[in-house]
Amino acid sequence: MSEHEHERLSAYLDGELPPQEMSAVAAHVAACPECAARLAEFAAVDEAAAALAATAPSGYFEALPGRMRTRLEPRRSARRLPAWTWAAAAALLLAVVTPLTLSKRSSLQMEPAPAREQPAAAPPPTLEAPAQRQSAPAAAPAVAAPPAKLQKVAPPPAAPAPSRPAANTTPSSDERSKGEQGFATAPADADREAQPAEPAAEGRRDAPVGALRLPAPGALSRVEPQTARSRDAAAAQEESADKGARKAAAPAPEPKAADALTDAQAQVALSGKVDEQRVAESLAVGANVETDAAADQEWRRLLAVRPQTVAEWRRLREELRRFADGAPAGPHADAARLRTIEVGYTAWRSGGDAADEAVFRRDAAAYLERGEDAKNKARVRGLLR
Amino acid sequence: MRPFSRPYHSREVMGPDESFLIARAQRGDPSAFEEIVRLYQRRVYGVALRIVRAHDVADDVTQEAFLRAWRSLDRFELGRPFGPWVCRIAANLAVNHVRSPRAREEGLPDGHAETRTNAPGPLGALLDAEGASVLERAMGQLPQEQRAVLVLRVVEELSYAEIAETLGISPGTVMSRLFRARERLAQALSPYLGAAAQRRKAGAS
Repeated sequence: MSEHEHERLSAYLDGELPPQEMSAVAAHVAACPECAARLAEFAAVDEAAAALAATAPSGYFEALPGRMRTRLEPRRSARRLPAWTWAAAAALLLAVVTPLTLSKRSSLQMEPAPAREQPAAAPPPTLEAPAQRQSAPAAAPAVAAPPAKLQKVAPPPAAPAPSRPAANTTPSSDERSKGEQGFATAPADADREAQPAEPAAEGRRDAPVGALRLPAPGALSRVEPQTARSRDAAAAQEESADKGARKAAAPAPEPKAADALTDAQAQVALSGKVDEQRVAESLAVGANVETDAAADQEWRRLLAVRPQTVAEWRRLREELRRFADGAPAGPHADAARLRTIEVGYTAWRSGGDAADEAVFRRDAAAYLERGEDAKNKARVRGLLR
Repeated sequence: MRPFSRPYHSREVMGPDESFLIARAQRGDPSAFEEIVRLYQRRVYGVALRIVRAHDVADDVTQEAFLRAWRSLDRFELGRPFGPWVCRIAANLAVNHVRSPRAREEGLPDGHAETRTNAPGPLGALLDAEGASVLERAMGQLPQEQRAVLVLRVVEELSYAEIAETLGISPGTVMSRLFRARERLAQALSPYLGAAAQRRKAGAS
């Protein structure tokens, strides 16, 4: 047999030949003792090579985790704040600062603003005017900022209202009052327009360094169940056996199944809750106005997603998780955590996948372990039943 | 005998505990990552040591692999198996390291080994102590690139495509390097393997 043939034997051993060649080699090996012996040799070499001990000086593995820990630099993920957040923040900042500067200048000068800046149609100065001006140039992200917050940074009403660019005729008192009611009423399509192409989903598709690809299905079907490595894995699992998941599996008192909460109900309930939160937030200090506006927008986008398939439910679950993790103390974090669990529940119930169930139970357990910031423990317990 | 007796790790499913840890580490929790290191250090070190064949280098590679994993944890998708991922980072680093002049054939000093990275394998049933040391030597004499491919295949059980991607070579190159490595080892081991192969045969029938 030629060297080329022997090379094929080696690849045959790995199940890495095209199907026809696989069967051809199998037939040949069955009829050729020489090749059968060679194949057996290769297999024995592999087995022996895999079994060779790889050893380290004693104490090495006891010390390494601690040594590694000291080398870990703090990692605050850049992905938690996607690029458009900064764009939105910058737009809002501009919108806030510009009128302030303008109004200061005009009050200093004590003279009418130049005519080109004063369209005849401009309404008389009102309390609302500054806020409207701020919203308009920044488009949707800035509009999303609660009016109450904007008023905190708006110029005092006593200052003469600076002129408004002619283009800014959009904000009406209608919209203004809509804004005051909260943002659940904001048109969903407006959110969609302003929202850039899913930053989170894009991140997910980034292949990790050295990411694994699944082997070809053919190869999979030919291999036998794992031995040595699954032992390792089992041992590894044992080492950390008492981590969260056990708690998740704790039986809940009242078994009550899938009908606990439909997704639609969850969404309605959640958006109601969001409004309450928003009122409270609006009264809070406006330090994070920019970030909040972007976060609000992203949150509303997430609430508007309507998955059709299990995969989409999973994707939404992970997007929500990232959103919550991105600002763990943020205004929507608790709602997002709850929603992660609910969406995870739906992913599990609609796909019946044990892995989804595990994720759901883990998320639920982690939520129940949280402190006072977890305001929906009852609902999570309901889902667990 | 039956071919394909080694499955692929890529099918490993991440346990709930593991993904819980990873999720915490992704949020920047160093103690969760420390746990992850504890879980995978033997495997990562094993891959590194088998390729670079010197403890201090394998130690460097192992730490660097974990550091890189930590830094790119954001890009790691929960639910994927973590072990193969970090091992492939390590293999890549190890190979790049053995390509560098510093690491030319240092070899494993005798008797430095005290902590096994894996459970005692079936080697005893396959080769006696003499055979094992012959194999160890033969492994050390393999060209590094052949050794790396062999380790990824027989220890990490990666597919040709995965090995190719990890090492930046073509699947055809994987195939021929693997074949050459097996040929050389089989040659070195033939006095021992004859008996072993006989035993295998006898055991199988």
